[in-house]
Amino acid sequence: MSDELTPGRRHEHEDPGDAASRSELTVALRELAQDHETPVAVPGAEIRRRAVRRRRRRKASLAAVTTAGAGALALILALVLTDGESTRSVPPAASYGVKTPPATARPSPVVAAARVDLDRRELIAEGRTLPISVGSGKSPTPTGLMTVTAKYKATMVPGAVAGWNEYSVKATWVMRLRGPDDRTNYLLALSWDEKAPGNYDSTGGAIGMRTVDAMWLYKVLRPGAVVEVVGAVTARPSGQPEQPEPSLADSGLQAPPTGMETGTATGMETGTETLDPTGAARAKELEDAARAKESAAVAGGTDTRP
Amino acid sequence: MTEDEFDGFYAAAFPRLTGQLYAFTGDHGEAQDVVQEAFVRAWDRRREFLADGAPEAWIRTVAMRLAVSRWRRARRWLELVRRNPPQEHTPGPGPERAALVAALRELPEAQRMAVVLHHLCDLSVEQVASETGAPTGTVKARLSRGRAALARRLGEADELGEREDDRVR
Repeated sequence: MSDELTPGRRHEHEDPGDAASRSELTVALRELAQDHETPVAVPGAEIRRRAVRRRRRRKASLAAVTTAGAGALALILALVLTDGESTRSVPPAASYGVKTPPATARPSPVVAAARVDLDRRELIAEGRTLPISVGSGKSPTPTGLMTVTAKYKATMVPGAVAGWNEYSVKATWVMRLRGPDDRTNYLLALSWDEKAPGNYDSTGGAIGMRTVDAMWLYKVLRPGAVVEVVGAVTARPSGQPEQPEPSLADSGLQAPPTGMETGTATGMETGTETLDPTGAARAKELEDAARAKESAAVAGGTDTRP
Repeated sequence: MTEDEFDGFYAAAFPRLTGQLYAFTGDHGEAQDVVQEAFVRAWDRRREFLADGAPEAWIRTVAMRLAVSRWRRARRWLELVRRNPPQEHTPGPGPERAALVAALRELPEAQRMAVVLHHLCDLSVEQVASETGAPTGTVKARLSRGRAALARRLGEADELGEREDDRVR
């Protein structure tokens, strides 16, 4: 068969001293095995039939177990929910729909333990300001309220999030965050790029810090702590509502879809920074921008905005 | 893999694998049983089994693992409960073979597996390591310890045989 390997290649790194006794052993073992080769007792068709029969049986029992399990779960849930509702006094640590109160009200459970400002590339926690490096370009750091769901002194994180091409990468001082839409993000030590925090964005969405800072933050944040991420350096993926800008939504303004979706980083920045108090003027401006872009795209093919 | 291909592969590989598994378990029925079971599982998971690229090695791995877990279970109570020891179906092996089987059975499982995989199934130390999930250093240690123990036991058996021979003569 294909797995038969060439003997001899395995002896190269071993002491040649007792090669003789080893080959003797090999010979003895081979003879032993050969002597005890048994002819096929059951035809292949029977083996296949057994496999099929077993699969059928397994499916049936799995279905039975699933229905039983679902029933039990429903019962338990009913018990827990009816019991828990009355005694519950503490609201969950992070509820995503609620706007965060100002950071002065410390004992309130919804206060963010740390605040991440993507525009300024800094993280503020316990009065300390740490430089950070976040996601840029196609993979920006999601914003909103995040909850620390787990902490690891060292763990593997997805390479795409950490800013690597590999499937996963080992990172230290990792705090796993869960944000709105159940998306996972990480606070971690950018041990492979200590110069990035505060200077440039190098991750694929994770919030990276210098190792010393990450180690400090690791001690400060407990699982369940809330981290608020605000600001956006770059375009967010479409469909992600912009959280820290309620005024835009209030005025009922929707950006023209073509202009915003193809919007580059600069396009978004001008969009958010040149806030016009009058809604109409702003809408006109956005429309103009979109039209200019469209014509540019039609004329030149490539997107080169003035 | 079509049914015919599977049947052909089964017919070809089954005897060889039972021989190898016999060297590992030292029990005929057991060896047949686990190899057969491994083939049943292989048909059930054809895709995984083919993706592996080395079907015979796949079967052997599964059979060995089955043997290990059965061995454990067996050692706990089945062997004790069993009234009569498993009888050998084939004509008894020569005395030195019997000694080898006995010596193999006395080896700790990990050493026995390393010895069989490396010396009988021609796996490299690295392959044994990946098969058993142990570091290569550990595999080398197991191999050398296993070999030493086998040599010691077989040496004793040889002396015994010679003495008996003398007496006969």
